[in-house]
Amino acid sequence: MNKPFLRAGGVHKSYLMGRFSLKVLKGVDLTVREGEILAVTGASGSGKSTLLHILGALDVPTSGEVCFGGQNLFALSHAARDRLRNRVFGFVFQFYHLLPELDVLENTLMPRMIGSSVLGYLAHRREARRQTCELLERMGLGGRLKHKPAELSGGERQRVAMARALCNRPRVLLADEPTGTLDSVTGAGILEILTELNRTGQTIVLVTHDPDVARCAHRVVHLADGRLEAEPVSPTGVSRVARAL
Amino acid sequence: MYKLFLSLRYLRRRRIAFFAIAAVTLCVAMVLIVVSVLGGFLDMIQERSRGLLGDLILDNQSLQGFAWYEEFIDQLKREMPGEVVAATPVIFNYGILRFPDSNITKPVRIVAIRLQEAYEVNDFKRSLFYEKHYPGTTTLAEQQQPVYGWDENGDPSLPPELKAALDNSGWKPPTDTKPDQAEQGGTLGALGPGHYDMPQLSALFAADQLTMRAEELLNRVRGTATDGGSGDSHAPVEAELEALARRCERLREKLEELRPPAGTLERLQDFAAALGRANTAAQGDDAGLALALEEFVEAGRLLTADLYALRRPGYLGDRLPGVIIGLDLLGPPNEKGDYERPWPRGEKVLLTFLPLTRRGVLSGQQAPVKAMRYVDDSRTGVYEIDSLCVYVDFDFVQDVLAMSPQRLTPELGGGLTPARTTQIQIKLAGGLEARRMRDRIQAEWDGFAARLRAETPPGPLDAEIQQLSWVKVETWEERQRQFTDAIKKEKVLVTILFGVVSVVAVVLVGCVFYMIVQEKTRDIGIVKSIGATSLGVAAIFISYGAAVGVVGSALGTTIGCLFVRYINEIQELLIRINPELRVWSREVYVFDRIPDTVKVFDITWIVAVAIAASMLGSVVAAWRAARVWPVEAIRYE
Repeated sequence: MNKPFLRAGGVHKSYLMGRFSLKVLKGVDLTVREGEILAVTGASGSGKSTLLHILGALDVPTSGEVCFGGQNLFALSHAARDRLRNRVFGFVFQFYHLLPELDVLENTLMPRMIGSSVLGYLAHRREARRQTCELLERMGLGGRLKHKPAELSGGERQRVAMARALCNRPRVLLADEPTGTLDSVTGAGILEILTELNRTGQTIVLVTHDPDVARCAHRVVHLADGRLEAEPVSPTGVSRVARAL
Repeated sequence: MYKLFLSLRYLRRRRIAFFAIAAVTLCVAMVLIVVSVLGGFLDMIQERSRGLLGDLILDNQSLQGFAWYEEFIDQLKREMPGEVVAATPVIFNYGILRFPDSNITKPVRIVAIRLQEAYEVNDFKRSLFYEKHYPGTTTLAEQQQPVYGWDENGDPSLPPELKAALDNSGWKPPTDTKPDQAEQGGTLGALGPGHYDMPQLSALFAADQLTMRAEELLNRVRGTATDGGSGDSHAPVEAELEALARRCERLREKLEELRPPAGTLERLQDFAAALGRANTAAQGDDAGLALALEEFVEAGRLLTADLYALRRPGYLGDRLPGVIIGLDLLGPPNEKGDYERPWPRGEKVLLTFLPLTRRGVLSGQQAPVKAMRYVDDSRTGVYEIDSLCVYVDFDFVQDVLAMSPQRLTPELGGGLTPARTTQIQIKLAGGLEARRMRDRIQAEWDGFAARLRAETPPGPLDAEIQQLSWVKVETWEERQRQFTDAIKKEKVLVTILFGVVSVVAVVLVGCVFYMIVQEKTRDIGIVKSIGATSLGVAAIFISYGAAVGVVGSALGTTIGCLFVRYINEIQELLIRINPELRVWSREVYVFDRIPDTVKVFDITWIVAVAIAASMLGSVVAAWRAARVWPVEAIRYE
């Protein structure tokens, strides 16, 4: 749990807004330790999502570095970063971002398909489908495999998105406001799944503006004015979530 | 894997893609139809013209022709026994054909051939009608007209030679005859394909009809006698008697041509005498007329019975040289496209020749008119040939056109001029390259001509010697070049034009894909966020384009093939709706049917181009999709 394996150092990110440069991150240093739940909190527009995207190699910092296993992600080729996004990081978005033409099973299998060649996928298709079905079963979606996203509730869609993120057994799960669009009961269900996953050793980085959600984390960092303000590790973080539920 | 999966899924789920597929389908079908019809047309022209020309043609492009052809053919066969399979002289000239019993005259191209040699050199035999059904019976030699007769059961029968030939051809009488066609398809149909206007049958029917008509008149006369008579009724009776007399005269002509036994001729005389009596009686009372008509009817019945009993299948008439006539000279096809032969085989026709002197001017003598027998008809399928050519025996035409050896006047030193032909057709052994052989045979001819020039002293044969210099050897393709090159260019031009039209399909595919990418920006961001590469995303749209191309091509090929396969039926349907809608006329396009075959090669290249074009159409969209920045894209909500 204490072994640091994802580290951001001096991360700056600015966007050009016409003639002006908007500085969103102003030198963020952050270490994610293996097996922990790290919550990044902050006000809306404070750059939480941007930081999460940079940590997951989805976006590129203006300066600074993000190291995974000692390797700076942005020194890697595009193809290598694509592979990392496919195998090492799993993303869960606030708005689920499922593909509307595909059913639940197909959406969940998508990272597997992306990571395999046609022949490779066809050779292990049965196994992949079995494992994905089990995962969806654990998520409580066993009866919804053939449903399209439009036919699901918000909580179900978010569980599908989580199943998709976990499909390739990522080392780090990056969740951006996972309960942001859900009611409190459904949101609590999602948090329960996250803590459950963490118990099996899943490292999770969580972005939220909701202090209640942040309470489930082992450690919470606060982003304000583009800089992090660290909070002490809460030894009872997980149990507090359990209480909140 | 996801590229294939998503492209197929988008193809099924995005209705807008159907527009792209429809555009590709229509373009593929359109180009396939055009290429198939024009390509088929070109192939037909080439195949048919080769079939009637032989592999190489040697001529001097003049009507008076050239001499010493026999010697050169012998030399070819001697010098190139492995390469020259057959060679035959052909004379081309022009004349006038006159059909029997009518004043119809037609200008014709006279093609003088040695029939058996022509069979060896080209595909002429395949174009003959009677030769196909009665093998070995078509000959251009002098012959009589074959006439059909009656067997022991009173059924029509063929002369034994024709019957044997028909049996040899393996022809079977049609079995699907309807009851009301039983006579035509059954008894007469058993005689085999051809024209059944047999002289005996014709005379028999004429006598029978005449008797029936006389019987009707008799009944009418009896009716008027019962009614007490009326002066007015005599006028139509007189007219009817006149009509009977005319028919009686025609029957007499027919019977005389048949040369029946003396007994039958006596019956005819009785018949005519009875009619004469009826004519006389018509001036007097009805009772006398009725009596005379009764005698006339009785004589007619006896004559009919006599004719029916006449059994003589065989050959009639003078021995005349045969002529094979281009089928379209006999008349146009009927509405169904079938040819009805208006004259029986062996019918007499008149052919007027236009002989030229050795120096190429019209001979001073009166144009010879020759009576000939129509022995067969030829249908090559090329309208220009079938509506113009008649085929006559080579030696006969050579004599008529004074192209056979002619005696020179004593002033010119006496002796004979050499015989002339206008063309030599050569068939080469299989696998030989025609152009190389053309050059070899041209060299052979040049040597041959040079030797003749050297050996022949200046004098009376100067004209013949001069003609030798103009003789050129050509391949069948070169001979048809003017015609086939035009069609080849037309094919390329039309294909390019339709290809340009097909660019519309590419643009449409491009637009449709651009719209899809626009609409799918968020999805593209999602798949990129979970590890899809830019190249992979581009590949989704390229393979999507390929899938549109494959589906569009498959549909287009199916529609195109079906359209081409049934193109003649479609035209028939259009003509039925409105005759103005006929787009293919054999007078214009040479052949009577629109080419209706599709080549696998054409399908292959059209489909390949269609798929490539669809992929090309998707390139811009794919490039744009590849450039989608995932973080930007997933902000869409």
